Amino acid sequence: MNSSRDVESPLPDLTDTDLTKLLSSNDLVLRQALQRVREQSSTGEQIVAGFNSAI
Amino acid sequence: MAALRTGGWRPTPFRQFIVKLHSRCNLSCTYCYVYSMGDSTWRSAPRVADPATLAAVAGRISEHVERHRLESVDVVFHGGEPLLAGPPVLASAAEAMRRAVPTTCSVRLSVQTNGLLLNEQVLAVLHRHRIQVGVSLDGPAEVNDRHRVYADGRGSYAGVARALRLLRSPEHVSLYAGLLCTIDVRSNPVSTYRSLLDLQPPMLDFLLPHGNWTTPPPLRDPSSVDPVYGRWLTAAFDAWAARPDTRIRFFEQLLDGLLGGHSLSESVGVSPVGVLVFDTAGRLEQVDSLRSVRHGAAAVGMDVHTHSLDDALGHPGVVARQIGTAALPDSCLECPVHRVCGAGFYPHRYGAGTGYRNPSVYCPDLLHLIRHVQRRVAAQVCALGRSGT
Repeated sequence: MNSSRDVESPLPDLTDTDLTKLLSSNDLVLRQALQRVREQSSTGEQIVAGFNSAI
Repeated sequence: MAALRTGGWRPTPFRQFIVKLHSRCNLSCTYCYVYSMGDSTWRSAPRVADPATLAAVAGRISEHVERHRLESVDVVFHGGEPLLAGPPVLASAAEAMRRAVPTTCSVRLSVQTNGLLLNEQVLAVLHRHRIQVGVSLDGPAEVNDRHRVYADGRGSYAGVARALRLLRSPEHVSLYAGLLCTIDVRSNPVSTYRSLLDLQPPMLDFLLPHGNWTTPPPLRDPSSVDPVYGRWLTAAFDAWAARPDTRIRFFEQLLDGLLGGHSLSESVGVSPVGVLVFDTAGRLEQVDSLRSVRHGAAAVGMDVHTHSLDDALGHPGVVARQIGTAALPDSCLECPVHRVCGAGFYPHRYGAGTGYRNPSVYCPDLLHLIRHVQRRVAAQVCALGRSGT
């Protein structure tokens, strides 16, 4: 198997302060993602992956 | 599995059920995993799911809901082309599901269709039974009609566009869930995205065409690290992120993963997959796009008449998709973004002789896209000032 392994460093660990700052970012897709992630953690429900469909 | 259980792992109950209403299709798409790749299971499946099968499927779902005290489940009517089954079958399938599942559990019904058979009569059934509609369309006519064709080679775009006009009309738009686009890497990603956006989908998703290390996807040479699909996706991502007028699930899942969240899609990430498929005979299957790998790859050797859904939870193929990083190859575990990528979509990992414990055949493409999204996040973090700096 051939695969690409020349990966740069991952995103540095973001602190809660960083994440809070990102909520005021002008990057809408990023703000929305942060809100989704926070909702995930606040519900405490197990996250289960679903089927590829447009629904 | 015994070792996994000893280590504390427990199966994740299924929460999404793909119910095949019809095993044939009114299109003959060039890339279809049901008919055009290695599997011919459809030949032995009844054309239409009969009432007894649908009742048995509903009963098994209900049993599973009760056993695991599930509060919500999704049922997706699928095919072939599910609307070929006709409005009465669609209605009876919806009634069977809602009637069987305890009222303590919400049942979200939807149908994934090519749209060609959507008409007022069908839409009336969809409204009556609160069934949301996802439509498959690959972009503008010149792109869509390369692949999504009738058996005689005619393109399907005009018919789908007519259906979408109807679905988007004020009286029906509440049923419109979104569009599903399989990527043609020869197309222009930005114009493809914008053509789909013109149809105002509440949600959009891009799918990589099926393929694997043994039967590679179109224009993806497995020996090359040139991210031909990665560049396409990156351009589409930038067009979307510059003006996110709709949701794109694939991109959202990558962003969420990079920010420490968990994927809700089987395409990326390491969340347990909670999907089970029922064919028109009531046979249980893993995600049916495994049919793209080889004949019978999706089968688990069980059916609703003789097996509970907990039986399927013990199938090795199901387990492999619920154990997260434990199912990934060492080469993936060395990669810093493996939790975001999760080796991509399971069928794309397959190689004859090595099975599924491989990186995705799209590894260079996924890396290219994830790095790109990662840089976007990092730039924002820097712009806002890292804490402690």
